[in-house]
Amino acid sequence: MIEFHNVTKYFPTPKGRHYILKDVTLTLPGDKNIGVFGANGSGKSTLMNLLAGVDFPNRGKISIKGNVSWPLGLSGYQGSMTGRENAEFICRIYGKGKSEFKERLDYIKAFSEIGDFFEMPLKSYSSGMKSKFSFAVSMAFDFDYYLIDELTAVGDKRFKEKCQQVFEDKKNRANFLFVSHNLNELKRQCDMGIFIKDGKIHVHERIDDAIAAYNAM
Amino acid sequence: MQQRTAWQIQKAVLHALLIRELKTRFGQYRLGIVWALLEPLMQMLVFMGLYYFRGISTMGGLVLPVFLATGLAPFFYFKKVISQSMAAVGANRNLLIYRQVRLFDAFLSRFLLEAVIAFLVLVSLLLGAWWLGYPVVVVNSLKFLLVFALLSLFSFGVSMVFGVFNTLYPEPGKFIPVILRPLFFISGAFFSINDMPPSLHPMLLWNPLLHAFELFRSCFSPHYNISLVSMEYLAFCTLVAMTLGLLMVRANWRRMLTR
Repeated sequence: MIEFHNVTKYFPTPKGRHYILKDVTLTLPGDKNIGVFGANGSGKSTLMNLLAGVDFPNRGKISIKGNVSWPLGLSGYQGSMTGRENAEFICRIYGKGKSEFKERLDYIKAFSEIGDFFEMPLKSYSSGMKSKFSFAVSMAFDFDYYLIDELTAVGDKRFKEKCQQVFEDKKNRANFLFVSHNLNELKRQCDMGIFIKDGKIHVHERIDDAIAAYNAM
Repeated sequence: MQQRTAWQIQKAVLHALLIRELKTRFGQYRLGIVWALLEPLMQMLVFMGLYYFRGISTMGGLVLPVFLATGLAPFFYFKKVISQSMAAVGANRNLLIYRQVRLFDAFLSRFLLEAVIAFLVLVSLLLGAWWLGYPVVVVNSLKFLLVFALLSLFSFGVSMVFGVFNTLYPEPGKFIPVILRPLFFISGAFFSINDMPPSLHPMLLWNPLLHAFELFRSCFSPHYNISLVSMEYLAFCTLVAMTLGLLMVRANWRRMLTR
């Protein structure tokens, strides 16, 4: 369950405050997968950061029961370090012991299908490889909430199916919050939608309603 | 996922950051720590040459390599902690999307790495001098460790003040290295306060670095004159620097995240 209590978040700009959220109070159920809609710059990523605990509301409080992932996307990696070193870093900060360590790394290496590039600096990856790598890392850890920020399944049909399979497996144990511009994917993955506009969060119980509202914008 | 205690998380994050710092610092260079040795070593040789031509071979009862090593190496340590800390947030920016990696960890991990390197460098320089046949006598090793600890914490405190300032105001931050440059000439890195004209003493003695270097030297000679400097003053400055540094981080870390 995710609860917002009078949450206000703004960014200071030379022309005054740019509000992302204005005194928002709402409760999101803990057993639904949620699609996050909004125009570019409406604050979808800020919302993800707020939920991930790496950004903070100017006023109010957000409380979440359970473990929340970091905003899973293409950032958070160090270009000069290899895929393995990046994966090791994340294993370490999540306190994985020696035995689990190897298991996760093997999983990431196998899932990402980047082969020997696992031992190469991340900056040498093509964008496709980087997406696959990020996807594999994101799915290697167990959370109660996965915040997925434009981390869409890439690659060929088979890889996409594999990603879909992982999502399905995890859906029994965890919940997803998706930010994506791919409406079809949101429709497929999510039960409900929230729509950020003008400092408010509009909650739509059915994903179709959220998509309709987004299209009507 | 089982709950971890705050201490377990802190330990895990520091460990991960230290390994990352090590990899990015020394990863591409096989010589690694030798590079850290080179800067003070080159400076030592330059000053040994200068003093040699003036016919000086000991300072305050210490042979030149020991005298210079205990001033130059700690001075570069101080400078390095500050420059590393000023770039700490920028370099770790994309790791701050993990909630357990906090800004303070970026400062702390960089400082810890520098402290270990500096200690190894200082000890290597002294061992090197001893190996070359210079008389190196450790009179008080515990005092040496204490001065090193105080100098480290002092540097860490100052570095956090500058690190936070530079992150929030990068433009005036560019002047910090310029302002710090003259410190080299007034901190006693290559001279002793005892050899300075007494009229300058009141001014020079404000500088806690000078106290640290002189106290270092007194650990290697029972007769080294430290009547002008004081451990208490160094400790007091350390306390002030750490308090200011920690307050700066504490008060501003959320603001720094969004920059």
